Amino acid sequence: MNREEAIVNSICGRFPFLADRIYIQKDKRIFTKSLLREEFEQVIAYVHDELNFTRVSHVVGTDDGENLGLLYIFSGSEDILLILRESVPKSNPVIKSISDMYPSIVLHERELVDLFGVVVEGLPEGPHYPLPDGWPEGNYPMRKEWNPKHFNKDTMTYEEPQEKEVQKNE
Amino acid sequence: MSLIKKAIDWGTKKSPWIIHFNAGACNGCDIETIDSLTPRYDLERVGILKQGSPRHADVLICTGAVTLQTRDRLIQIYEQMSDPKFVIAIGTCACTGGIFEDCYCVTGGIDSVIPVDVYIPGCAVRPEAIISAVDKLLGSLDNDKKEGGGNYES
Ligand code: SF4
Repeated sequence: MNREEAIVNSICGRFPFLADRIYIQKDKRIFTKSLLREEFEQVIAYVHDELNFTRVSHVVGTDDGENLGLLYIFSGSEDILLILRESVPKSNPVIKSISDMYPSIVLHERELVDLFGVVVEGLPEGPHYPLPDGWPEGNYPMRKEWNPKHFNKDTMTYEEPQEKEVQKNE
Repeated sequence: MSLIKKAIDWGTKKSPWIIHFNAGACNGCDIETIDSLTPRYDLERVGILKQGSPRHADVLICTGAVTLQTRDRLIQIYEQMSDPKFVIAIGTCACTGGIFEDCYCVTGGIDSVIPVDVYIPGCAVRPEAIISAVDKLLGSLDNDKKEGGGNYES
């Protein structure tokens, strides 16, 4: 049994529901398929405390239309990356901040707030990052439905053209 | 032409002082700009000096596309410079917006905000190109005057 399999086995032993959703993509890369919020919170605590994945190097946001996907990349003392995916519905995109375990993630979580409109519970109040000061509320440039062509940079307002709404109603 | 103006012209041409402003570059062009000032190319040996304050500078060297966050700062810095002042746009991003054009927070090249005198395309530009651009800018001052330019007193 190599190192990757040992890690997968220990995660599956603790969380049997993950057995068909965790896979070794190639050498040193362990992926999971999308987890729900509650599952994700349990797994992350275990991974941090027991398996020593104490660093987070990236958070990637994705938008598949109905759900927002979050992809967290963890590393630890060994050269193995563990990639956990979380999925939240766009209508209620609430996640819990993991900055108590990984202090460096605050910057990434702010990016999720600004660019994808994710609501991060437990994230301290702070300025816009990386969007500029004075950016209008409710505009999330990395979401699929947001079109930069409709954004007026001088007045900082977003206006969808009228015809598009007519098409939607039909 | 008054004596003072003549002295200013002479001084500007002999030893232009520059200030470097990153309006939203990926840092590629900034590295090349610094490279042209450090010993390998050493612009300082011909009198081109980097200044810390826009109030002491004649030439504003801008890299990168202008973002919404830097737009007002760029205008402020430009307005703090005393006349005569010149602007050099370094890199494709600074000339046109480059690969960042139409991004949600980018207004375009430097000339979408302030007037630009010299454009240097390239991603990233070579230090030789920067030296050549400063040289051309100074050369163009003479030609400009022949055509009746140089009335920069505002
Ligand atoms: S021109 Fe190229 S190197 Fe220069 S700021 Fe733009 S992307 Fe970077």
